[in-house]
Amino acid sequence: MTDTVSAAPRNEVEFDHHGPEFRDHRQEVIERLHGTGCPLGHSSAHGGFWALYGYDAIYDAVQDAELFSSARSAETPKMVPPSSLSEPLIPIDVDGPEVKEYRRVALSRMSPAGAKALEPRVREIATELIDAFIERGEADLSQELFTPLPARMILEILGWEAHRWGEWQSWVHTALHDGTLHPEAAAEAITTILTSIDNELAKRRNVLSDDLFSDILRARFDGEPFTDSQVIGYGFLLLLGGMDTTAGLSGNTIIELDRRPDLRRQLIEDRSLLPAATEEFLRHNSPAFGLYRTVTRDVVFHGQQLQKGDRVILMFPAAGVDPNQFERPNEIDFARSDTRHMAFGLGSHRCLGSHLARVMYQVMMDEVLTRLPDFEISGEVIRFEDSGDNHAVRYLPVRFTPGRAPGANVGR
Amino acid sequence: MVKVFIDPTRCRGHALCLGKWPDAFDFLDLDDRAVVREGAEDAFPPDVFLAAAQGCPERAIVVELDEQEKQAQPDRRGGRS
Repeated sequence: MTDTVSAAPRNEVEFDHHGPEFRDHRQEVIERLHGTGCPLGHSSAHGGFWALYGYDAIYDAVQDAELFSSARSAETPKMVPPSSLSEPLIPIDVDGPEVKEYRRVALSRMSPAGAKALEPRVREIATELIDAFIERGEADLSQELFTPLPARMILEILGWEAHRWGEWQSWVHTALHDGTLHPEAAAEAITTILTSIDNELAKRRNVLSDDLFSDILRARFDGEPFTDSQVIGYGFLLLLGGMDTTAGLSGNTIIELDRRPDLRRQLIEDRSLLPAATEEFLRHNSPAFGLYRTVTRDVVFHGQQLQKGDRVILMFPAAGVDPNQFERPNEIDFARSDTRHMAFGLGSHRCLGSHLARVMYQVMMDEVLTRLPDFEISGEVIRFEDSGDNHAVRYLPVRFTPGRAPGANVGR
Repeated sequence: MVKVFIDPTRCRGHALCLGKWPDAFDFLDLDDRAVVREGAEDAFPPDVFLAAAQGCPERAIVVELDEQEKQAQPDRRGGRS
């Protein structure tokens, strides 16, 4: 992968993941990148960065964490564009064995078994949310199900006030989707989130309970707890990861099922296909764009000359449709055997919430296919303006045959 | 009969193997990694482990076929799916 031979001419690509073309024609843009025949390309957007989209190149980059560093600081901003946050976030902006130690704090709740234990609660919230619109015969699935459910779940897991999910969610959306378009608003939202977490910290520091935030406060590393700013950063990251991505995948799936009645019929007729379908939708069009790295020394990597300090994006969703890795990459096929996607990333920074994400996604899909199986998109689908970090829909209006809400207003 | 090994330095806890074959694999929650269940190599056909290895995004599952299996599955070793 890396060697000392001379590099090929630089593969310059016209590419901006924060731009409107990527939002509106994501698959075509990714296809064009693969069409260059080179697994990585250099873009001059945002001050210049490398996009890694080839499956093997991304795999190799993740394996070499010394060459492709996750550390972030004022000198190595890593992100494209740089974050308004000065402090590195734990554990995403960290290299080395600490990553595993820091993640361990959350593992008992985020493991496959931990996520499965949360399924009844996920089902309960899904039922409550669908009850609220099922008799109406129309709904905005993004606003009324896919967005609130993950938001409420992560707040409950953290032990924060879940009924305030709307406020948290609007800050997270602004922080994640407005970074390039309205940087001041995004920076302000980030400050609001950090201040709000700081308030939780002040309330909770000496009142530990059975929740993830308490686990973070209890954690010790060589006898020392996290500093306040580390606690706040960890909480921030859990919010960002928890609130937006599962909603994105769910919305993208509904759009696909609306377009493809045959796929919908397969799932309605045989729900045991749902796990395989989950992996296929993750491979085909996963929402989370990727992670950033900084190159730590001059090197020829997959034929291209990288320089120390270069910023790199690992485009995990692009790897999922790499024609060198997958046959018929753009075709959705629940029966395919080659599903080795990277939608949750790879290596030590693999998405901490992936198991919970699968549970939430599958419960929501199962409930939609059971209770409003004949849904059809009934208005304009509006994506977040900048889908560079998460390719998600903000508004997803559907109509369907009204159902009954047997659980409405009972026992709550 | 196969020997199956999940490299603890490569496994990053995606748990795709566990999700698909919960009786063949187990998961160490606090280590964030999968292991092969005791006796699973005897209880499951080699195809299960070959498919799991092929599906592992970290390429952490190593399957060792014995001579008999190698002959039975000449085209299933290595390579992409």
